[in-house]
Amino acid sequence: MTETTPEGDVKFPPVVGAGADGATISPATPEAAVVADLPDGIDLVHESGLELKSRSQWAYARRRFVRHRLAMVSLVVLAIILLAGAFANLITPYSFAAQDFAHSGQAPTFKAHHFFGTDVLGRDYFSRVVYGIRTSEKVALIVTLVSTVIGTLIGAVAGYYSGWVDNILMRFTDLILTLPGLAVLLTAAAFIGTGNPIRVAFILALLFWTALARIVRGSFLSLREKEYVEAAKAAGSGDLRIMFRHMLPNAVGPIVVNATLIVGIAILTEAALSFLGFGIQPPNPSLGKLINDGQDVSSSMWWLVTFPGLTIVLIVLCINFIGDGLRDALDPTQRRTRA
Amino acid sequence: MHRSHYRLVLGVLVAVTSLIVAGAAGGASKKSTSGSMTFGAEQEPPCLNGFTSGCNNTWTSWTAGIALASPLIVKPDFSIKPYMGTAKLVSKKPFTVLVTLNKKAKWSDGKQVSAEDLIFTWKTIVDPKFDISSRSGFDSIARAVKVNARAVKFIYSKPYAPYKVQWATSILPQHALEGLDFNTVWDSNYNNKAGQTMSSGPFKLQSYTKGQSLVMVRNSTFWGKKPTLDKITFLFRTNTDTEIQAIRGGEVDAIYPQPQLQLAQLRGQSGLRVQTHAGTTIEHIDINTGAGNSTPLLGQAWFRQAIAYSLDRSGMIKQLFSTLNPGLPTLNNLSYTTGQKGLYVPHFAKYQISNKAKRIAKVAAIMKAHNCTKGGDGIYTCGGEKASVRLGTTSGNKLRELAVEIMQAQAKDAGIEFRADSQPSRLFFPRIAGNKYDLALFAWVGSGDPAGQVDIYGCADQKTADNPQGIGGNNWKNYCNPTVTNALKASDAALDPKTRIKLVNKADAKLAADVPTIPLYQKPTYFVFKTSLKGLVDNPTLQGPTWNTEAWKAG
Amino acid sequence: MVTYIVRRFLYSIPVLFAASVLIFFSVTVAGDPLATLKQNPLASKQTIHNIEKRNHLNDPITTQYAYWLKEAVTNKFGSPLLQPGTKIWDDLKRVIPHTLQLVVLAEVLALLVGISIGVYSAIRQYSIFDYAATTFSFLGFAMPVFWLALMLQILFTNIFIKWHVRIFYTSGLSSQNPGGGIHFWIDRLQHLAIPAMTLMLLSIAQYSRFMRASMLEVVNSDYVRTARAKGLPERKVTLKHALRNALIPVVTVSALNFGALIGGAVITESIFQLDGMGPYFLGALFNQDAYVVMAWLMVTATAVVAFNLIADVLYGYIDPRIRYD
Repeated sequence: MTETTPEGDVKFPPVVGAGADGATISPATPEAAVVADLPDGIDLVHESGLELKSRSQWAYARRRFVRHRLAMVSLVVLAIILLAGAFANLITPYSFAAQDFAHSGQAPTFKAHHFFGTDVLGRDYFSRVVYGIRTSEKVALIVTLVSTVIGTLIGAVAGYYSGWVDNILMRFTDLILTLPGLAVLLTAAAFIGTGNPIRVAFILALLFWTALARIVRGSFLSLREKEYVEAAKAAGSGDLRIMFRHMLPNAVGPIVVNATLIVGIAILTEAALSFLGFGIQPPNPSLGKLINDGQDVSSSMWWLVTFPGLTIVLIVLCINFIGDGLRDALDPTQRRTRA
Repeated sequence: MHRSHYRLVLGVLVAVTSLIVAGAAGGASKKSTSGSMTFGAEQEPPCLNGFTSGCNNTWTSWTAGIALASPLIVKPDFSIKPYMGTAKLVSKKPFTVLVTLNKKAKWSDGKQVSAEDLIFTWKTIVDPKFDISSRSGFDSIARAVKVNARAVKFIYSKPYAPYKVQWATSILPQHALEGLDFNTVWDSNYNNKAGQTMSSGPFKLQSYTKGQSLVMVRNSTFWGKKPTLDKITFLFRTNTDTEIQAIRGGEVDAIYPQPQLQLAQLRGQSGLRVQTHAGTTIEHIDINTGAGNSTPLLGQAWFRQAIAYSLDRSGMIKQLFSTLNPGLPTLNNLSYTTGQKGLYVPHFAKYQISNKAKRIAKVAAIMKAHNCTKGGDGIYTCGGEKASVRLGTTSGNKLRELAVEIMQAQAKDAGIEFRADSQPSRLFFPRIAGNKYDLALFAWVGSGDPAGQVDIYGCADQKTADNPQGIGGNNWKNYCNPTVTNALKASDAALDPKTRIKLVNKADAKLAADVPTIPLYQKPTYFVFKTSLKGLVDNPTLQGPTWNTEAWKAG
Repeated sequence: MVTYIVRRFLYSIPVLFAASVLIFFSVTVAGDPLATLKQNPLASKQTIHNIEKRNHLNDPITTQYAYWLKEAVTNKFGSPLLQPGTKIWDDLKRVIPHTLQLVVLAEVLALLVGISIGVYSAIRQYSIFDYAATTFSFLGFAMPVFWLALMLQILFTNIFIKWHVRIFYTSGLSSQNPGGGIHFWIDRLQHLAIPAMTLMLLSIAQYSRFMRASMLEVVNSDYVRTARAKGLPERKVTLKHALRNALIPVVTVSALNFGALIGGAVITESIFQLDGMGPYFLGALFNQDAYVVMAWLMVTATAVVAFNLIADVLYGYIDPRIRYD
């Protein structure tokens, strides 16, 4: 029992959006959420230095993941959506900004390739949604990278050194966790300003690292007791080398799972911010902003809120299934046995 | 899970549902009493004393402010008419205004509205101790002379042409407020020292539940036409989607929302009436002609003219308001609004070219005359400077955001790039006031009277550290033309209406040539109410929708 | 146990102090709270000067912090920047109960439904029901809350327009004349129903997932196997042994959730105009009243810290394996 929050030995399913308004920061509320201990097999790898075993460990994980049908389907669907966003300029029939007043407010049709209809300015909505995916993707990518790096660093340092370093870093993490995420984001947006997707992403990232920091700390706390770490220390390896060459690879499972989930949270939070008018500003279409814009005319042009809304739901749904599959794959302790 | 547990859960659900259905039945049978109505207020007054900067909000005066009548009133046609009294110019030198109150005017506690109240109102407004939001006009009054119990002569230190607008200000009761801290006393009520609610208007404040509602009840001692409604309940519905669902679903009887596209759905709904007018709030684009802009091209009048020519303002307005207010006119004068017959001269109309090819050709001709060349991206470059400027507005305002996107596309067609530069208003306005912008789309809230325009378009007559822009405290355009400045200054002092109009339009014609600002349109007002309500008339001036509540009737 | 609680309580004090520093400095550094007022062409210079002086806005930031802290502690956060006649605490006292009503309603229902779904999913793992529940909860996680709220609002408005039956209200806390006693609360329930549904979806999704996972864990544990091996009836095993232990994490999570929701239902509360913490915060943000924003952040931070403490204590209380030292 630490002094902060319960660290039960139950493994919770890490899921996106544990909180009120779909804009919460931690994937799963107690840090116990994600595996603190990894299967012993991984440790053996480093003890024996056998590459072969290492591969087989990952191969097991891969096989377990591939067996998770929903996760596999989700992976394919998500890949299609994300690739569409990444290559938006190649696949969209129109520019996202091209206006055509003569054809404004058209319902979805295959004629003239307006698959998702057109908006109040006659812009092709399919193109806008695909470019919206691209913007959301960009935001999610930055948020995930930055928050994962911060979370891993802080968690690793806290877990490795423990003692007062750990105390300070974890109290700081607690402090960030006491602040309601959405409110902090809104305050930041109102006082610092938004608009630029990169700025929005960084504001999000600065709040999203806390859960991961706790998870990584937990892993490192247990890993540092392992013999191979002792051995590396005895061999005179530097702290950094031990932390990042020896210990980090063994904590990579929860980090990957967490990163997946951050993607989903980032997309939902960006949408919520945009909805409240604090998100990404035109001309960049983002999925949240598209819903926000379509809102005004949703009674007459239902497609304006439906398609970006469904896109968000689909993306986050896929991410959750993938996260689920990853967790199952990387945490074989939770066996899939019938009760 | 055990069966009995299911039964428990089921039982709870059934209980909850039946409670709700019971409530529903009760709710459906509940009918509002015939003499009352509910009004969805789009904003909640931060506090009730609308004179102070903390409570100053149009919705403060449109809700609780009904209780505080003013000597004059601004009618829907912009004319200023006597209400609780009159205000007449009796001498030009010294500038003297005689304010006389209606004989019958009295407060709801029985006391007369008196000459002392007029003087007290003036003194309170100019008292430096108090956080008064605007002292305009009152700070020009040098002294007051009581004529009789109901009339006061105010002698001004300098002529103040818009004195009529000034006296459309509510009058304060001296006996209720004297000696108290005006910053705090009327925060959540309008009580006198005995705790009675004060009103000189058709309704008085009955209750104010913060965050929820404000209830006004009939003032039985009202001096004017007897109000027919017993009660008006203002429900705060600050989320626009919610506000619109509330009137659709009959949870409120009237709303007065900002223009937004979703209002269109209310037009088709039976049982609802939508009144709309071009208001006095002027949407325009300010151009920063000097320091702080991103290209010296903006300092050139020909370039600003090219920008004006590149825009199809009428096409944009038609597209934005096609479902809401199809007849909304393009504004072509910075000083007068389109409804002001005989005053409004469309000086900016020459920039409106609706044909796209002709528009592009016109800009091309100007660019050619100034040796500009088109780059590979279709954007002109003039003397090494790219014709690329920032265009910002207050983000979150969807109509403005759409306007920006339309104008971006129009300018791009003509070879000028508008880079998006919008921010939430908190950040947007300080940047404009600090001259850190190129083009800015925002609005001036006007009264239909061009007084004080020199503040917006005039040059500095002295620059100080405190006021780097000199007198034009709101001239953030770095624009200075002596013709404009002198004409506007003279107009503010001109008391003959015809001379004044002439001077104002002289300045306006020059502004249309120099283009430091491009007028777009007058923000339309929307008054939506149930057809069963009678007597509701939109007042597009700042007087607002509740200017004539004494005439309102519930079907 | 008592020492532990006292120690945890004492530890909250420096956390909250640090939070106050963080909140004050980030909000203050972010910008001039009077920027909008100064931009107003009609705003009187004298007035701006008065406000600056009254609130010590021209002092160094550390002095400002000291004034603010003193005001917060001795005067319950004092008054908003521009409304010296209003007390921030009075406003908070008004909005917090509204938020609590919503949160309690939503969370209690969500716990009931979520736990039931979770338990059944675990018992019938990989059944159709399990897959449906999983899909439902993942949908719940993926649904943008504001979207759901707006859809529900439109749905119930259209029901009213079509059949003229007022099942639920789409905005506000009370009708014009809600009546007294039970009528008041029925009316309140009609107003809270749709927002509670909105909040519940996510919570149900969350609790059912947690419950399913912890139930599976417990069902596979040795002592349950032992109980089953002893020949106890399956129902008794499930309810007596498994459910009780599986509930532990969900109870803890719900306590944490509760704390987070005090300041976490911003969108729901403002869409439905509930005069709770959310609209109050957004209002302060739009008025750019830094003092109200700071007070609000402090209150929500306190709620989170308090419920963290409660969760810890609860966890230790119901889980006999945990010992406090």
